[in-house]
Amino acid sequence: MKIKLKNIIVSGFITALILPFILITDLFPFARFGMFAEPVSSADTLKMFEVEYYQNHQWQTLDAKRFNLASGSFMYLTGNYFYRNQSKEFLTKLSLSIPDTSIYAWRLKHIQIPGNNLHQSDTVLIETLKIR
Amino acid sequence: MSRKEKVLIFFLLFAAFTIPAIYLTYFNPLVKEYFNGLAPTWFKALVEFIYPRMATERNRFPVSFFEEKALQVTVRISFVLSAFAVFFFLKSKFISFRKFTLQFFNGHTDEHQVSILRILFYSSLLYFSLEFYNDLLVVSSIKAFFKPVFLLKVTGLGFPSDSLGLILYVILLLSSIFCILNIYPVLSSGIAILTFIYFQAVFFSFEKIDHGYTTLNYAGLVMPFLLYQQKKNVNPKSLLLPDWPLQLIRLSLSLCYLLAGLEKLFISKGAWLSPVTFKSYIYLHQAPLGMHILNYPLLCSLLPLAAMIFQLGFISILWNEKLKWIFLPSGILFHIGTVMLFGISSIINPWIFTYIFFIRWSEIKPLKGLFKSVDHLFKRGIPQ
Repeated sequence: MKIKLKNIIVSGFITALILPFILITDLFPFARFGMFAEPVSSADTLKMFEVEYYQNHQWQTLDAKRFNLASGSFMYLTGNYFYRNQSKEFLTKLSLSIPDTSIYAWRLKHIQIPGNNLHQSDTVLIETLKIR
Repeated sequence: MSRKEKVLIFFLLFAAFTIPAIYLTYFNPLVKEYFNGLAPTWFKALVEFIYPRMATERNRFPVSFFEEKALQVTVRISFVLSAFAVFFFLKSKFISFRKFTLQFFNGHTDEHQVSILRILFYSSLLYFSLEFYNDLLVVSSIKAFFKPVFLLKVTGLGFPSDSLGLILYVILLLSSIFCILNIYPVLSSGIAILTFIYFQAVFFSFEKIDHGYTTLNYAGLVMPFLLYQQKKNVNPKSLLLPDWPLQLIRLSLSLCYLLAGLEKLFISKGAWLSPVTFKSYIYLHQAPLGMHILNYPLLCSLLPLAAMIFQLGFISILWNEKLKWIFLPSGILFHIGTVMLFGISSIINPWIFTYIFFIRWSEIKPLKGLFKSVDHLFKRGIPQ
């Protein structure tokens, strides 16, 4: 009986480890190690997002460290809302998360850098949210 | 080869070849139907439960991208089934391999080894979770973006209030300390890992999962079983314990590297090994040392190859323990290299820390005495 329980634990655990690899998705706490797996090419366009807020008569860039998020994670979150066409919802949630009365507006920018050339970036204003 | 083994291998190979055929015949059209909104409700619900990113990705990529990914899933099922078939074939044909597999989960470990690992592992858990409450308070300001990960969806748990977060944080710290001091180690270790994972689940419920603590999670989930072996050892004269939980931890840590390597090969279809891919990753991250390496084409060709050999080869230390003296230092270089070349993660890396499970601590006599005294502090110690 004890041996059977051991076998069940071992088999179940190994299955749980392999399953995210098979399904190509994280089943937290069991992980799919996809980081750095996707091939990228130097010819690909680098896509970045930037959030700015209007305070003291000027636009300032929001630093993700304010929420204890790595800049990459914040970029990922921003990108997800952008691709789901929910940029306005994103800015609304952000304005609620930072209820600062000195902030008058929020805006989301999409920056595209073609190939390896940082000097040829193309910035598009996606959404602006006026809160006052 | 026995008849039973032949039937098993035949069944695995039969399934490996028929599953892709069944997929292409019956299930491939479902992917297109899903994107056209014509798929059955159960299929839609299943896809969105397993792949929460689908809501985002379907706006980014064409149907062909998802058809390719769905085919990848079936190819991976076939690959894993074939790998098991090869495993059973080798087991039946080669005596040394059969002996290795039979002994793998049926060996013994020293009780001192378990005690030392317990103290080291829960000290690390304590260290890595020290900032959790502070992190929770900071991240609670963007609670509006909270989207529960798989584990929280399954268990129905949500974002904790500040007071509940504090209680859970204290429980996490106390249970880790109890484990270090060997006070109710089995219960404490279970509570420690569950709260540790819960905090991470909350942090990762902002649409981005970090794999930094994965090896700690895996080891922590199995540790209670190892400590249970120690607890149930009622024979004071015997210092040997069944080592299957320790072996399961070693296997799971090795599988992390193997699966990470295979993932790269499967997704990129080999293109990952190209220096072009490596250079592009370096360029994307703009780390100073990485940018400097771009001036050395030979290194740009050799480093991804060396990383792949390391990831696929790490598991060999389970077969030949001496190889750990090559793979463990290589692993340290691999993780430090990732920090230096790409500027991500940190030098104090939980993945490196879990290498403690590959070291025979009980053979280092001064350490044995030191850790024994910690155990005796609360008179729940290891026998003389």
